[in-house]
Amino acid sequence: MREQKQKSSPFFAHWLLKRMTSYDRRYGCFGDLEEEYQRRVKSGSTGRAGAWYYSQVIRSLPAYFSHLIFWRFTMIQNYFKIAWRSLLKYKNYSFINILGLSIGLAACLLILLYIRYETSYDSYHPHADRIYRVAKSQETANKVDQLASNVTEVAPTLKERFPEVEEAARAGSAHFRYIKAGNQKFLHDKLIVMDPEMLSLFHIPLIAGDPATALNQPDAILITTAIGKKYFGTANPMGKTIFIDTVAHHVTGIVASSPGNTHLKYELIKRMKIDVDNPFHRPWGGWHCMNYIRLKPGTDFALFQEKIRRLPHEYEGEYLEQRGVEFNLFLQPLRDIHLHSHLKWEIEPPGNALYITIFSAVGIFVLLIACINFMNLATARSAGRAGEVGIRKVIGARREQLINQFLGESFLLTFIAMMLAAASVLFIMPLFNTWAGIQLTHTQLLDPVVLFSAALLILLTGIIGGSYPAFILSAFRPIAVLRGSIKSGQKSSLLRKVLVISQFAISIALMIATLLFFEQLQFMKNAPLGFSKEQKLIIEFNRENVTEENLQSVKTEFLRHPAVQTTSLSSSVPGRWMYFWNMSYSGGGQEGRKMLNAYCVDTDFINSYDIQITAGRGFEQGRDNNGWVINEAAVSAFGWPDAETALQAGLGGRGNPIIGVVKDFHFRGLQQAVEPLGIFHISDDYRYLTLTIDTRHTGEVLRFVDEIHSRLFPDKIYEHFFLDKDFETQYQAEERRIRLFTGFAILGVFIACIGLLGMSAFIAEQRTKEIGIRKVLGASVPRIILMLTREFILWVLLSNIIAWPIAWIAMNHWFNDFAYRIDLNLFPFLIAGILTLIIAFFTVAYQAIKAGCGDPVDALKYE
Amino acid sequence: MKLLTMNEQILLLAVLRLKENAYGVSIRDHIIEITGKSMVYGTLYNSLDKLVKKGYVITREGEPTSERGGRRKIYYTLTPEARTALRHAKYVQSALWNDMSDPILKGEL
Repeated sequence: MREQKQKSSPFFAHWLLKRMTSYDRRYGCFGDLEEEYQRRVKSGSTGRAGAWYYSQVIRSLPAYFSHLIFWRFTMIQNYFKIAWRSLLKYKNYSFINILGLSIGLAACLLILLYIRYETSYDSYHPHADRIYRVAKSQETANKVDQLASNVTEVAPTLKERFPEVEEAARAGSAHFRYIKAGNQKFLHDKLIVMDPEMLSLFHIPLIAGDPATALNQPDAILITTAIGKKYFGTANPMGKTIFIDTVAHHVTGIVASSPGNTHLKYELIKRMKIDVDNPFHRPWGGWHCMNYIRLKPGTDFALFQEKIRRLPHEYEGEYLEQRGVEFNLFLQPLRDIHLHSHLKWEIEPPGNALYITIFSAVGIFVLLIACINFMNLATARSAGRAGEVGIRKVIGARREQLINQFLGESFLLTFIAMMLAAASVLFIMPLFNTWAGIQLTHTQLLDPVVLFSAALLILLTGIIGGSYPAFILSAFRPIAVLRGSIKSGQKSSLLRKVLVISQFAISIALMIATLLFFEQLQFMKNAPLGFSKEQKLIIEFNRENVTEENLQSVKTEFLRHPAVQTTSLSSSVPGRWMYFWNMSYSGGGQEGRKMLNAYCVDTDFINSYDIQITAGRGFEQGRDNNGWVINEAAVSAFGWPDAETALQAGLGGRGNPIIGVVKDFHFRGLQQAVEPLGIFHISDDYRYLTLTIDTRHTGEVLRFVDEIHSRLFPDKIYEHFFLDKDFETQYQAEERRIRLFTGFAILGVFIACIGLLGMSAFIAEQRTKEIGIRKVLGASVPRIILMLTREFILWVLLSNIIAWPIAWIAMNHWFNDFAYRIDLNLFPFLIAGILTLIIAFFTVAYQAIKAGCGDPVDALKYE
Repeated sequence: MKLLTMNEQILLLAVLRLKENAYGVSIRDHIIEITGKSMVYGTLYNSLDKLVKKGYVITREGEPTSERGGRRKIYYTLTPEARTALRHAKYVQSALWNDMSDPILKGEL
């Protein structure tokens, strides 16, 4: 009997019970269980009693947890209550905090979405990681040209010869085709020609029609839903006829609109047809298009690339060797095309990875400014909370609980701000889309990466903002706090100074960057281009319009209007596409092959564009114009010491002489240096008619042009534009960026200022009594305002000193990305500095005046 | 006044009946005897805890005994509030059952 009595309860269950409970003293829980356990041991087996004990403990777990949660919840309820009360008590601070934070977070979210969008290009294709574009590298003696387009033979050959290639297909842009549907004519709808396999390779889903057969017929055409609506209204577009350059095509399928984030955007899709009978075509040296392949899983990309690198030489080795050209293939991962490809002949201008970095930095900076506000106001306010901490500690709160409480409060605030930020992002998204030139949709906010980043942002911001009260305040000794020997966060005032100064340094740097960027853009837009772009009305028409026979009459017809001063025909105009040829040259002591941009023009082109001839002559009516006019960049690229030497040389297989040299002019935007250019005279490919007009009569001239065109070329359509405006479209990307940049810089400055407003209010409040006493002793209001603002002005001045060199170095670095850049000058720095000073002064002065004008009686009566 | 729940009534009546001897084990035994259903200690303590919070019972420590491993018993006693609440519950109960002639309820079927 006694032995049984000494049997102790099961060890593990007892331990578990101990972990679970602090009930012991309150309920005698151990005692109760022990008593009944012993009773069971006495009346039955020890084992069964042990099992009973275990089951009691384990079955009590749910009850234990519900109890636990109940008490936690009660505590959290209290935290919420206190958090809410302190939010309300310091309404201004809370407002500034939440407003600043939500603006900062919204800016961050937008930038995040933007970056996410830019980096998501072409990643939606199934197996995007295995799809590559086969690009072309053309290497001559001292120049490597990398082209996005490649000869049309590449894709079929790779598919046929290499088992690693799972699928291969080609696509190309057939821009500027005359499209006719019903009675309507269109010029600029994006027509893409492609192999039928492309539909599956790029996963272009068909809404109607059979993907297997849709592109089988040569007259088949696929259109997007939007184009269907545009061409045929509400009627079902399936089977309808669309004319492309007068050739009838039938709609065999409807495809979904291409997403914004692909480099191959389409509106109409036609089957690719390679015209191998064309005399200009030569296998491995003729038509170019985009070639895409999908490799089988597990294929080593580098190895495969090496394998196919010199493939063209297997087919055209002799031809290439003769001309001293290396023609190699290389692979570009599909997803890298948008941001990391800097090849020529892209279908659409690619993005720039540099700006991803820049915008990330801007986003982080703006958020940082908001975080600093958050932190500053938290430390400033901590004085008021010290009492609460003392009381909580006296009642028995542990430090962890206080840390949890303050961090929780900060998370709550950040969470509210994030919700507001998300709402404002939704609100501002359409505007942002037009600004940034992208197509974000609301659902992108729910993207897992974005959600995760948002959660991370809340976490980071919450910790940063709540860290001071959480870790410093919670360490206060209650006696010191309650006795009042810790006052108003004195220790934190240095920290606050540093934070405000860095905040303003960031804002100033952002402002300087914006101003300088703006200056750079203005510089690019206004720089002399070396040709005249003013008063140029350009008619863009069908190249079949003009032949050798009617050339002269077309020109004189358009010249008949008195306001038209000159007319000139050319293959292209500055700012538009260029021929790009691999050109042999010989003479003047040099020989070889080089890539050359080219225009084909008539005899009036050089004159009507005011392009300056530095040596030789231009093309002239009635003289032998069978030769080349090149620019100075070409002279030095070909290695001739001066223009005179160049005139001794010839270009091309037949050695057409160089008859003239022109001064370099910017036929492309100023982002790039002037490249070698050749101009030649041939009446084969005129697509643009340039009219120099008296702009006082623009309306008349336009009506006149319309009339002449429809008389000369009935059934054809044309587009017209003004060259100066058109040339500026090359700066669209820069303009978008500057808009974004300005927006974010303003936000940054704004957040910094409301932070300053909060800080100055706090300091004025703290010094209320001091101000009162000073006034009683005879200080004037201006003196008091000066006293209160002096410190802040000093801070902002300090920020300037920090921001200037940083901005200088950063902008110098950035502008090296432009071929023609401004030299940095002090002007934007001064403007940014003075502007921030003024803004900061007025922000602080507002509070100072409020404090300074108050009646000293109010300030002192509570003493 | 808030009506007592059935659980509360059961617990309070058990404490009332056990008079001076109402502590964990005896209360649980009593409840199991009357309701015929087992009850886990954890649930019992949570319910008692709530009754204490509501002010229906107060606790008192007893002497430590050896059969309890040297631990004290915690005795429960009803407060006047609990007695009032029980009286009220009883009144409601009987009023509810009053004049019920349904044979099922009378236990005739």
